[in-house]
Amino acid sequence: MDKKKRIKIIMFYVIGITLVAIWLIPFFIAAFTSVKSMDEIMSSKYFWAPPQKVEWINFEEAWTTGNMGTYFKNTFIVTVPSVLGALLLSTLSAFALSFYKFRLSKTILLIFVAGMLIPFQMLLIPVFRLSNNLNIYDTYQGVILFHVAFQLGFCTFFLRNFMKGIPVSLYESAKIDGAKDITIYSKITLPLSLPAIAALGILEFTWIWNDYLWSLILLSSDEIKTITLGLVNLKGQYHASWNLIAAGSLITAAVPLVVFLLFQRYFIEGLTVGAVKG
Amino acid sequence: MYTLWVIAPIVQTLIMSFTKWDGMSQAEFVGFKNFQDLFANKTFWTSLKNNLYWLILFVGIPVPIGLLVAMLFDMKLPGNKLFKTLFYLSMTLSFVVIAQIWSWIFEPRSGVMTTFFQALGFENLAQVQQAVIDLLLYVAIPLAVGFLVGWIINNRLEIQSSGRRWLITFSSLVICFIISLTLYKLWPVVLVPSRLAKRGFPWLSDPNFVTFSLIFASIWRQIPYVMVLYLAGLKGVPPELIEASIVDGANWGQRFIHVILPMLRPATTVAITISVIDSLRAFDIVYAMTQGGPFNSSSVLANYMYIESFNNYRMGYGSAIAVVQFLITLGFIIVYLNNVIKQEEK
Repeated sequence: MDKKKRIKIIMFYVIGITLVAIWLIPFFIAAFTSVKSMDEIMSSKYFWAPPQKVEWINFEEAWTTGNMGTYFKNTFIVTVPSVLGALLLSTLSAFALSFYKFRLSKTILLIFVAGMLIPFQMLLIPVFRLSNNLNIYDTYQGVILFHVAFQLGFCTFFLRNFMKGIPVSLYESAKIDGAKDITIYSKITLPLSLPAIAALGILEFTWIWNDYLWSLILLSSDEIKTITLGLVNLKGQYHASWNLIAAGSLITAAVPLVVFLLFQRYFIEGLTVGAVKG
Repeated sequence: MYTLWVIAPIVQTLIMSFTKWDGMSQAEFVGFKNFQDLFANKTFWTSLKNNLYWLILFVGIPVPIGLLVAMLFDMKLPGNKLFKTLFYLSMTLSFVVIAQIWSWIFEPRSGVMTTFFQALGFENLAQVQQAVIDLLLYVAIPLAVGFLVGWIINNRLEIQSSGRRWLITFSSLVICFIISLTLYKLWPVVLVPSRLAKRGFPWLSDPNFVTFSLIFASIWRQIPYVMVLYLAGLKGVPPELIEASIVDGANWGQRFIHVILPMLRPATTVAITISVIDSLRAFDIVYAMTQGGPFNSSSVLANYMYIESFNNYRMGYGSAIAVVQFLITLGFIIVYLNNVIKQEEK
């Protein structure tokens, strides 16, 4: 038995380390390429080999001449209000769906769930047309409003599942004490759902940060493009400067990576609660 | 608000698929013409075929591998947290970034993929394909069939002694290998000769291969996701159940099949439906990596729809593509909803 256990442990580390190493290769390639000079990339036989000389200037150049700085800022301008808006509205709708008992509540929930699974292509043209008609095409508001509306489906579903777990007796005793519904929402439901809201916020933040399709559809001027669009731009402009593009890719990836590393627990919880409990 | 941006558009797209519209002038009702055109179009069928590849591989590969990796990292040993964290990293990346990094990995002359296969002695893509097929036909399939047959025989005859069980499994494996080797002469009749490049490694520019490269890159991101789902599922497997099965004398394989897998049923359902839906949604990576090229060979419906609607301004036609995509997804959405309803009733 002891021997069996030892084999198991060795297997765990050997397979685990191999897997992780393979999984990280793409990250290393990007990191190596981003700190090399173009000469080194061109002269070495394997462009993905570790750098001989580390040059941070690529990041600087991507940030300034490659405009990644502007795109970076724009993405924050889009992402933060979208997340906050979606969270605010979905706490309300989730509260309504879990607190009140009305006939259509299940149907509404199912519509929300179905909406989050729909192929985006069903929405592209009408949303594009709608934002043209509302005169919010090519503005931050246009993208933000769409994100809030679309993410509402997932957020409501997620939060409602969590709020269903709040014991009814808590609500009842509050009602006996004469609390209004809005007080119950702000004094009981919200504080109790805080962990779920945090998890959801982290998840939504990375999703919206990484969004490409909707920015592509709803934004056209360069000054307000988000970072994923910016990266594609950078690729178009400096397509021979791999080091710049690699630096740009890492800048794009940096924020979700940092957010993930800081809030890993919430991130993973969010993913599982959202999917499995569904 | 939700109605305005999500529900109304669905209805509008449905209506628009019966019209001809360039985005500016008045839309004109044309009945089923868009769909007729669509079904007569070669790119549509290529996209549909590619979507099918996506669906099969995007579910078939990440789900079992995600399960195995989850079981590995579920072992409570020091370092497993770090492994998990590092493994998850790919999940946080935007598809645009993934497309960029992987286009370097698939660089035909000195990319990592090329170097790897060159180091193994391959000279071109066609050889790689041949090797994969050989591996499947002569190693993987006989191995799987052999194990399965041995397992069935063992269970049917209710053989108890572990020595005999091994003997039966082993002999059924040998027989399967012999059969596959004797079929060796027959296989070429069944197989179409490789249409892949005979020179070099054009991972992303060989029309017959490019879709697989794209799927490969996105699987890199999908496996950790499936693993997250399974790890959550494994948390729900009570340790007493596993201990009880050990006491009953079940071996690892039996435990896996009779105890763990049934407990993971819900997680599997979710992992499969989500992977299916994601595979049908694949757009970002295709568009950012190849734009559907070369010659539309890597096109999928999502990407075809975008190009027709927003580059060629055929919005009615584009809507028709979206509707087809929607109808395909609908079945799986219903499965997922069913799941939700079941959970609700508990």
